[in-house]
Amino acid sequence: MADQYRVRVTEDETEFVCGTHQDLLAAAVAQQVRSIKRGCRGGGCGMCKVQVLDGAYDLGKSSVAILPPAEREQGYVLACKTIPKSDLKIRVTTES
Amino acid sequence: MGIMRLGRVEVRVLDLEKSIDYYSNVIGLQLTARENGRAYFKAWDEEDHHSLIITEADHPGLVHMAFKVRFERELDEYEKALEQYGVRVNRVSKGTRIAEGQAIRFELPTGHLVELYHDIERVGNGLKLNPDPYPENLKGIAPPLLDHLLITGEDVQAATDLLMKVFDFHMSERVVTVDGEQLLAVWLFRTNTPHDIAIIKGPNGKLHHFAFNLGSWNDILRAADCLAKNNVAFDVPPTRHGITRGTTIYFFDPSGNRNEVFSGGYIPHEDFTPVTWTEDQLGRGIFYHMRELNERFTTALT
Ligand code: FES
Ligand SMILES: [Fe+2]
Repeated sequence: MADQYRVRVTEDETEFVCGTHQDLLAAAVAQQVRSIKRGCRGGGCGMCKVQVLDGAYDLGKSSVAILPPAEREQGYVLACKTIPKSDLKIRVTTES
Repeated sequence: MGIMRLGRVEVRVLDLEKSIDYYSNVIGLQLTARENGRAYFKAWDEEDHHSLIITEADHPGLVHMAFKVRFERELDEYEKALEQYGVRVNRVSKGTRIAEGQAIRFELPTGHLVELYHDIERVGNGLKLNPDPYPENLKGIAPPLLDHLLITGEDVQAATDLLMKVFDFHMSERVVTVDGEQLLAVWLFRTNTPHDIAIIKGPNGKLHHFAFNLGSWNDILRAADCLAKNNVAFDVPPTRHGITRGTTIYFFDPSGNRNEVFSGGYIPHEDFTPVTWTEDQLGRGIFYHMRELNERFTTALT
């Protein structure tokens, strides 16, 4: 198993790497990737919401008020609560 | 007489154990009771059994805020006054939560639940006979007191009117549109601090933050060190508010509820003349040094 995965942000064609125990937002911030918005970092505010277009991941405890089940089914996640299980392709989204 | 202070806030958290660890060891509150899905805390200088309740849920945010009144009989008086004002009131019976007597409950025009109570178990602060200035073995930031909260709602004016007319809250500061026509935010007090509750225009029913009191700017700096050491997410690092003149840090609990530590500010009395800010100066009002609001400050709500 890899000890880090590659995360591709579709809109701005950037890429960053994320550890297998690191959340997407922390990894992006550490690598100066600014396209994901940074909010509470606790799964509560929804500012870091992105859509995973491709790849496997674990989503930690996230507020259902800002990430309802229907969105989860479409691959929407909170970057601050998402840990990659493979390389990922994500889309930064303001609407959902 | 009447409301003495903001006595408690109850907030929802996503992960109870993680939150207990954070509020005990990073904020440095004292865990006074636990039950299924809930934990109760007090700050070290408070005498009542608790001032913070955290309740596990699938989304964060405010369950209720409660103001403590001086006398038990005032619950009846305020129940009548609220009903006369056109607000429906419910009774919360003794024993609904640990250590609490009965309370009355109503909803603000902004959709937030408010309780008034007098009866709560007194556990004391242990500093009443030939005391030291503070107890041994404090952990983390260790604020002495809960201070205030800020909520958001559509109709700031209606909530302000209710609090001022029914409970005799006083206004310390307000933000109005440049033409002066509309009230956008308000800071209200019953104590001699610049605010016990503040309300800012935004979505109904949301919590912007709740705040603990600290004694000095030096304590604020030390609190920031503690937050950094514990890898807590900052919203805004130590700075000064134009509004209230207080010094501050905003940061987030493990579920994304915004917390603040607040120190200083002036001492208002009942005859205080409110300070007015126009909307175009709001950045300076909130963050006196940077003079602008960051997007996170205005949009991250729970
Ligand atoms: S930053 Fe608030 S939910 Fe991720
Ligand atoms: Fe505040």
